[in-house]
Amino acid sequence: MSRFGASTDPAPTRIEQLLGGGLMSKLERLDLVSRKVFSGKIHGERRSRRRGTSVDFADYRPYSPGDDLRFVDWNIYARLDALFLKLFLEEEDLSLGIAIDTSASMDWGNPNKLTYCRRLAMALGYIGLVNHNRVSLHGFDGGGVSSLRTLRGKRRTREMGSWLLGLEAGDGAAGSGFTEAMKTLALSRRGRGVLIVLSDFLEPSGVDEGLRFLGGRGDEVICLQVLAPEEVDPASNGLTGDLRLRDAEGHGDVEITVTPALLRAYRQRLDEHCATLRNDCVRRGMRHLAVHTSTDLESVLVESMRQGGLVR
Amino acid sequence: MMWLTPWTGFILAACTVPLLLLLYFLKLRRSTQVVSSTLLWLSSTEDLRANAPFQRLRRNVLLLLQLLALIMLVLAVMQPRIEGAGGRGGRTILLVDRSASMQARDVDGGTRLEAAVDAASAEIDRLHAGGLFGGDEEETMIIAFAETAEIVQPFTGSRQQLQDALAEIEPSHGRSRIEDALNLARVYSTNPNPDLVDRPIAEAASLVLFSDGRIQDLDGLVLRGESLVFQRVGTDRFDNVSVAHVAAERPYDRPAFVEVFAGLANWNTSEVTVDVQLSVDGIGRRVEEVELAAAVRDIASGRLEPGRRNLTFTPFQQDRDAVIEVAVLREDSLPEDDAAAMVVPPPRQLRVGLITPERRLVRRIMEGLSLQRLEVMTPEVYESRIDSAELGDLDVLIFDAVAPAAMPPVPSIFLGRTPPTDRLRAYGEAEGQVVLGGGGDHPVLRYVDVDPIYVDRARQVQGGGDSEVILEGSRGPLMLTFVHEGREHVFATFDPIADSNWPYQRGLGVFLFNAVEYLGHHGDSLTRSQLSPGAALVAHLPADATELTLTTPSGEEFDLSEQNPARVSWGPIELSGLHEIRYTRSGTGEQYSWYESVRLPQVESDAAAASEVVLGMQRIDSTDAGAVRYRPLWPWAIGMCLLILLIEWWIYNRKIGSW
Repeated sequence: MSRFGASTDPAPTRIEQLLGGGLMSKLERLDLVSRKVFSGKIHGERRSRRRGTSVDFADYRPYSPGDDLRFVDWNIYARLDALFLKLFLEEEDLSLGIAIDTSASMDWGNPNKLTYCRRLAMALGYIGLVNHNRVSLHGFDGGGVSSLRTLRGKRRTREMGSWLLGLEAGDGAAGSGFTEAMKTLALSRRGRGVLIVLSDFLEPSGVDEGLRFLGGRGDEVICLQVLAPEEVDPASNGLTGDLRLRDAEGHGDVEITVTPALLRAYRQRLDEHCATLRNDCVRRGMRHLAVHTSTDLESVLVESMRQGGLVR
Repeated sequence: MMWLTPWTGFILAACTVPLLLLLYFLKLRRSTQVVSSTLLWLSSTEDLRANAPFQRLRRNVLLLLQLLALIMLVLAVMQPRIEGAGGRGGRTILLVDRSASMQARDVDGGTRLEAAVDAASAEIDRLHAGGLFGGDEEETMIIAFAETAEIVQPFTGSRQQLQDALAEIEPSHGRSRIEDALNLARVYSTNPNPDLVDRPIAEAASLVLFSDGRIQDLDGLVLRGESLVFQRVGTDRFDNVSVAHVAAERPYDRPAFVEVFAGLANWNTSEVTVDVQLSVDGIGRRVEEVELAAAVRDIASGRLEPGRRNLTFTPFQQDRDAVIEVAVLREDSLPEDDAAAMVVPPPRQLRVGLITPERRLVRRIMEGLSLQRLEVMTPEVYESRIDSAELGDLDVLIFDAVAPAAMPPVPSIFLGRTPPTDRLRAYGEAEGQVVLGGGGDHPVLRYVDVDPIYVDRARQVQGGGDSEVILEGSRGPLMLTFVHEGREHVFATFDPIADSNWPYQRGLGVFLFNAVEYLGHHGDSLTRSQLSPGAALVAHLPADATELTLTTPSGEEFDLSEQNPARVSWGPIELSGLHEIRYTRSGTGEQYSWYESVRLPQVESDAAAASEVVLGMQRIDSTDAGAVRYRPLWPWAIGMCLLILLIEWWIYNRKIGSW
């Protein structure tokens, strides 16, 4: 009989275990959806705030000396005898940040939440790389934030996978330090773009402060709340009897006797916790999606995230 | 289902179940589980914290199993039994009480003994039912008991033999004593039949007691592994008025008259008024109406103290021997104790010899008594006539400050001189004594005020084993009785005339009268204590008595002609009432009768059936007799307890992950 919440699957050691070939080909047809328009750094495939050189007409403006004569609309000059320049939309790249909670609470559950987040981050990052976005990866826990910055192009996939394979869960004594980590992350990010935060958001001191730091930077933040089946339905996954529950991050023990009343109370608290997180996200213009690690990754990406408008 | 020791189980449960729950509260063993976060659990438990202790106990399989095992253990201690048909292939001993209280008629259709026999008969039918459900090989023994126990039928598997033996149980008027019966049962349980070598030597038998529970010797008895079922016979709704005792005497001044005294006892808890009849030789002489107080239960001892009343009948003339009977004219549950009888001998005046050295006072006192003959002689004359037959006719001798050379052949009173007997050891003289104790208890000193007596000088003696000090002085015995060659004598260690102030008091004359009457009539019916059932009947008949026949109160006759008439014995006595020995004197050819009145033991008059018997610390509740066979269930309870413990152990190991 396995222990409650212990993973029965071994941790991935190869990149192929993070992202299989079949899923990879499906992901190549997807792209991240950004509700906001950001300025990019280099020419890319995403509409920018700037006027540029794409084929999409945007506006006219009067000619001023020095302008490129190739963009003068000569038909207008013939009719109005005035020089006007045609302006076109600019397409630039998108900055995609993926932040993974590596605190001890994430290294729990069957399937393991951290492993699931690595695979999810790998998939999202691959979508970003395929679509010529600048992809940055961040791992955070109470001990600080580690980052892999500015990957671009499909050929950086292996580098991204190696980094994710090397991502280890933090020490339980350090806690998650969510607020501090989000503050550090917000300050260290360059440019604005899409930031996806993968975490269980089970922070005793609350996550509102941390979200405030992220939201203040102007990024489009997507909170993916990753929960294990043992957290969603403990009784069905083997939690019975008189127990002393020990917090993986050292927040103290709780003695319980599993009863229907207690399970009902727990389920109510979990629903309240998710609802609060969702409200906080909405209030700050962020998007929220709860993901269960028992759900197939392809199903999450192709169905749940597409239905949620996160990818297309 | 019945429970043999329910209260023991309740006490055990009251002690252990709260203890077990307390231990769970204090030390609930919890396994530790690591979870991602206790954040949600902490807030969830806060809502339930108010009734947390009870939440701990809910759905706790181990605790439930342990409680179940404990309950099984408690049930086993309570010794449950269920009614079941047929035997178990074991041995059963039926103990049938046939004591006096079992003659009570508070059972429909007859006495308690008859009901007990019927119940035992049905039990035998059930044990030896035969057929498919008749049980395995069963052996049964029957023991009947009252004062003593007897084996009516040793172990046998024959139902017919058992039924025949049961029908032969006769009632007894003795007390109910079960110790002999239990000892017999044990002896036969441990050695049932030496021929059956394949049977265990010590196999506990099942005992079934058919009784009203009024057993006198339960204190100090314990069961030694036997299982006992008490089938009660009779009810506690009991109506009884008894004649507790009867006594008669002939007044001193009118020896042709008889004065009868009777003691009555009311065992009902309400007052009753009864008619009491005095009969002489079977003819009613007087009837008196008597009101009797209600019986009261003594809280300390639990015994029922009857309402008592003493009754004295007006003296009536009876110048020959007679059988006096006092009877309560009232129908009640126990007729056996409604009447008591005694035998009054014909009046007889005594012949007394006084050996005195010419002293007047004792002689004058003796001359004042109503005697048939007083023969006064000097010591010399006495010694010269010691072997004559005339001296042997005397009933009592008085040695007034003289001592004979040898012990006289008749009961004697010795005043101031030590008699020549090895029963007493004289070792000196003491002067100046007052009376310390004794007096009124003994018939010799009845109505004698001994306190004013002062003794100037007395012999110091030490009596043998059969002597009794009846007056104790400040420096040794002042008066004692002793037995020499079967005759009782009285010895005053001081000379009342010369060495004390007794002559100046009235008591000296009363003492001499008492002593002469006591020694002269010793052995008569009036002075004999009445026998009770269980004792042996002993009669001293004339040497020429022949054709001795004993008739019991039930009319049964026994031929005792083979016995020596000088000492005829028969026993043990089973029934109360008059026992008559008829005999013929070969010299004259006349027929005579000798009577002995046997009294019903008073304890048997308190005969309300008990609801339980207590053997040692074991309290055994009754089941009303009705041929019920009970099978013990405690082995099943113990088995269930062990099974539950096994399951509990398995679950525990599964929980802690040993397996």
